[in-house]
Amino acid sequence: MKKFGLYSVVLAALLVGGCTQKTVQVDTSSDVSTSGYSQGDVDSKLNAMDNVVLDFVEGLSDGGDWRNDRVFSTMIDGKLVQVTSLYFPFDKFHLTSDMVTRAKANSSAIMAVGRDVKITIEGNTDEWGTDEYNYALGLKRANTTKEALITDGVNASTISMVSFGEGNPVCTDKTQECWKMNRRADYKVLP
Amino acid sequence: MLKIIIGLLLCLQLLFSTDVAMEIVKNTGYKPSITVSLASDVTMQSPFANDLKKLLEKDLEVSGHFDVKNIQINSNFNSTPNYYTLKQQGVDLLAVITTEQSVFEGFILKLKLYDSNMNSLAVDKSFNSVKDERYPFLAHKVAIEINKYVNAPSIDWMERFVIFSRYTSPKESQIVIADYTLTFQKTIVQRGLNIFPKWADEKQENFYYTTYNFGLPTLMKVNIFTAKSEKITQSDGMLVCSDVSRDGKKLLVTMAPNSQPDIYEYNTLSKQFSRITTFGGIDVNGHYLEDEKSIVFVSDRLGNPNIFSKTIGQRGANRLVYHGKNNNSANAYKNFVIYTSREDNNEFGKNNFNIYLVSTQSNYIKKLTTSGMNQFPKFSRDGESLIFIKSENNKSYLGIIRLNHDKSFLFPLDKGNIQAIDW
Repeated sequence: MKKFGLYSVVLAALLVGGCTQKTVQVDTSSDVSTSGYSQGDVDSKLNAMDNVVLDFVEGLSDGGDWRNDRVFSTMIDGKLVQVTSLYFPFDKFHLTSDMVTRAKANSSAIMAVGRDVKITIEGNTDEWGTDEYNYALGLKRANTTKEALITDGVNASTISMVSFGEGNPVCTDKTQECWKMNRRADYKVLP
Repeated sequence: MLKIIIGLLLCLQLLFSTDVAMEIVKNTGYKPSITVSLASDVTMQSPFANDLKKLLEKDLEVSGHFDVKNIQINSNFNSTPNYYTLKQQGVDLLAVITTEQSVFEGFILKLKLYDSNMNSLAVDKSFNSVKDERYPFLAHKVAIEINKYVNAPSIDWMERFVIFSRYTSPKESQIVIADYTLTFQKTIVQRGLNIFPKWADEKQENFYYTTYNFGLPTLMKVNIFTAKSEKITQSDGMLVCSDVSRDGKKLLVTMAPNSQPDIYEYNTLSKQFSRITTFGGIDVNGHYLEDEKSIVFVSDRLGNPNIFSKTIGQRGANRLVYHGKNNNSANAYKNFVIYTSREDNNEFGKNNFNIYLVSTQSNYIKKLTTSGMNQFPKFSRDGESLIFIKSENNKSYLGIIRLNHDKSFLFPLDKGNIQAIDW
């Protein structure tokens, strides 16, 4: 669970030079006028950027065949917990009747090992829509899923949520079937 | 009622319009004609010489201040051109460029600008680049220099950096800094999900972005000179820095500390948040209007995403847009707002997104694009231009619209999948 990525470069920079500004190489153009804009400004930034690569040690990824509903399995206290992702209509964050049934089945699977199980719900969207709105839509889908769990007796304080917007597709084909599988909320039941 | 009528008129106009930005050419006075020529007497040109020439021509076009004539002129770098022939060809200015590979890395670009009306060499300068791949910035520098010679309004904005995030795989995205055409690209942040980059100051020395690499969505601030990054805050669910005040001291942030996406203002000095929107649905994408006491934002409070404005600290919100079924992204400059509008409200339609320009002070509205999927519109700092990403027929482009010149330009993008962009 400790997914605390480290800025390896930053750490190295702190160890070596603290927060001091790096010496940057500035171009020396022969006779370029500097009035109106700063000749060295762009180049010094470009030089500085050559030394900036914030590279995270640990990434996150999921696998699986996107054509199937995503099932997440976890062993908790020797018991197998299986939950299946919920899928949503286009641009909406309410549960259709079949998804209400599935949400209840998921709640039952979780309650079988106890109401205090730690769960992270990840909200996702298809690629349609733009940046911030998609992340908010993903969050509302996660929240709908969370509310269903709470209604069924799961401890609200053990559920966390995160939205990946359109950034965690299970499929990147340009088909309606594919987009449908991306409009979903995933349960991550934590041991 | 008036707005409904305007909406209907707009719909009629849209039915019959082509690309408005392309078709209207405002008469802004005489534009000097210019031809760019790669010196023919220099045989050892940099491998980037041809790309540089093309980009310089595009820069001059994008400036809106020149009539770029793409004619073949054999120019020797060390001899004066025939001014009479140039005049016969309708060429006011001839820019002869040549490149020399540096002994170490990079190259030198030499420019001779001839004015056929003055029968004289107008500019004779050279520019260095310590890295080959930085040639786009040399093209922009030369364009700025030529623009200065004709005393046209400044195009210094061409040297500003664009910052964007690009998805590379599920839950993975990079943050990249580029020139305004995205020809030069330098990856700054990689691995893990890193999204919503936003310049933190006018000087473009710091930027904000959101990373998911610390468990919760985390807002980071990075200084490009020191490579120092600091955590600003974390939030459950989502966290985005949508806008930065002109003095850089206040941020508009979308976050969801109680599972509810709302817009907050963050004071970077006191490190305090104050909540601006309280609607129970989706409120995102806040941008300061001119007085920085009111904002424009996207909300689904009327059932579908649409564009609203609100005075900070007061109740209620004003609907700004009365057309479109799904208007889900906005950006503001002073009291002008650009937004994307999805022309269909389901996934079975054509998935056309177009960009519109409206004023918060009047009923002014203008459609800026007419085909394809046009997203991520962002004003330039001076409000005279905007950039956007266009996808059409499985190809992606960076688009520039020069509002004062009613012209738009497209630069092909080889790597699409852009998540967010700031200029």
